[in-house]
Amino acid sequence: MTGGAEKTLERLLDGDEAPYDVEAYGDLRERAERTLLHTERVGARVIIPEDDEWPTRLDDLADTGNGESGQHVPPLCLWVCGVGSLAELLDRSVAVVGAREASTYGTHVAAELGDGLARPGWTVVSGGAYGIDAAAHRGALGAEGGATVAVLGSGIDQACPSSHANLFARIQERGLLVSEWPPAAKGMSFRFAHSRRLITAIACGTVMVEAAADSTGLRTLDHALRLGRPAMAVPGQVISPLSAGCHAVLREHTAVRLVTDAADVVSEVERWRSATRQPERAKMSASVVLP
Amino acid sequence: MSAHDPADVDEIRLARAALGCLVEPGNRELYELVGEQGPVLALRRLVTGDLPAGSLCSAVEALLRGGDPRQLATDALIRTQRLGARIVIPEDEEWPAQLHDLQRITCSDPERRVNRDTLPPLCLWVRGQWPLAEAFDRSVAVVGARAATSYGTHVATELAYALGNCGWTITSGGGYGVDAAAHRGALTSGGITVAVLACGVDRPYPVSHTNLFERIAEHGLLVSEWPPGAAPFRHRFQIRNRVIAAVTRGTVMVEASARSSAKQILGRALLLDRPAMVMPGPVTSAMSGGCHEFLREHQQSRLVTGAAQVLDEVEEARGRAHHGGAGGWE
Repeated sequence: MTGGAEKTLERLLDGDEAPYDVEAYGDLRERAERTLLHTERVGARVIIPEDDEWPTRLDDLADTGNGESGQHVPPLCLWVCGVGSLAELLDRSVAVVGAREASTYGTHVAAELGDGLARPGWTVVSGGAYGIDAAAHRGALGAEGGATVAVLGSGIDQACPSSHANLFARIQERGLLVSEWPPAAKGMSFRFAHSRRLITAIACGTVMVEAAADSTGLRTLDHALRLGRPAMAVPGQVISPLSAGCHAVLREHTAVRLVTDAADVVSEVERWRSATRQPERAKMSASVVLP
Repeated sequence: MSAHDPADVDEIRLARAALGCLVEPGNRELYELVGEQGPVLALRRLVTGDLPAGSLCSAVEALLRGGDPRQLATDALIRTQRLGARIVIPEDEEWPAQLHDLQRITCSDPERRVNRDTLPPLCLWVRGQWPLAEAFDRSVAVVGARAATSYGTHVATELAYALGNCGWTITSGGGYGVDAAAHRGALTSGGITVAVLACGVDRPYPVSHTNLFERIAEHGLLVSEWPPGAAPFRHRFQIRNRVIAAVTRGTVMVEASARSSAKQILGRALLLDRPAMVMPGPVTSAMSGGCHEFLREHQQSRLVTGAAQVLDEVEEARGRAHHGGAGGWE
């Protein structure tokens, strides 16, 4: 990222370092303008780190660069669509994630958590997928004044899954849809997996509601831990395969906290917020005292 | 501990039985007195009122009402023998030495006497064929709510069955719900199960568990700190709990409400450095509320989901005790 976005783009276009077949992309400036136009047409906007509403918490992704995929770096820009400033919405936010093929127990708990967090003003962040994700979003939408943010694995105008088109429309009325990909980008499983790390990075903490034992969803909590964020898991019946992942992660990582309701989650996340805010406040008061 | 003259041991057994009839178990003053002077002399001084701790003497006097403590103990012994039971004392080979660890956890809690009177039993009334030390060498306590859900009883039965199959003794309190499910699971596996009671070994409590207790006495052990005929007073369950935690390698709590006494057993296990394990359940179930609360509040407690994980914990604890000589385990 040295040299800023413009210089980097120049270098990429100049050939030597170009990782892509630049020719195939045609005139990049024209392409970017077309994308912006498309973005406007679908009622969305592009936000960049230079914007006020950019969530600075994403900078933490730069410190986790040794991830196995080598892709753990902050995004260069985000497409967002809906009401409110992303940074403000995320100031007090919790990610609620879990299995797509969730049980009725899991969706019930996710909806209750979504409601219980949104009611006192916490933004519920999730991935807009089937199961736990959708239940968490719906729980937040059901709370009076509840806000929710969906981080998508596709372009913002692509309802993916398509049966969630109405859900996404309602999320835009009460919060934001967020994507790292431009409009029209198709929902792909690798994009979905990729968007999970963004979810843990933009929220204060992450709760896993249900996960199978060998689920990739467990990597989400692992990522939250590596970011130094509260990682939480909801227990369930020991005979339920969909709680096996949660129990495994609670057994293996003592840093992962067991939570049973929104109050437990808030207390974990508040503790993290006050612990991370303290040094800043100390710095500020110190600079005021100095002549 | 076997260097006693048989006649002396009989005398000691009588004295310990008399003390067991006269004073509630776990009493700190009495335990210290017995430790200093031996059970025979301790009993004599207690009965003659020759003690600075007056409260203990007056309580004993009220109970004896001028009677002969030797007669009291002999009666208890005859009654015990008639039941096919026996009185086991620390001087016996089969005494479970790990109970000595209870000396470590007594604390001066002016609010709650039960946290102060946590000293080892002076003797145990036992029904069943197994020598105590042998039965408890590989043993796990499975405890939990009386008002267990079908989930709790299912999980407790499965766990006890699997542990019993691996040759582990399942210890519990003989109560409704999780206790009974654990005993039944162990009986089905053909393994040993022990019910540590809060009343005499001749008093089935709860009464509807009469058949269960008969089967436990036949295939496992009924154990109590109280003499035959003793009633299951409420406070006795709290006193009894320390024995369940101390006599086993580790304790598993299956279901517990926020105010469950099973949490007390698990807390004692933690104090004794024994594995304290918890089975989680649905967060929507009040009967798992105490389990989750315990896991959240006690970093050293372990979440377990099945017999294999419980075995990992208790096998390790057993290995540690055998090699490091931790506490009273030899």
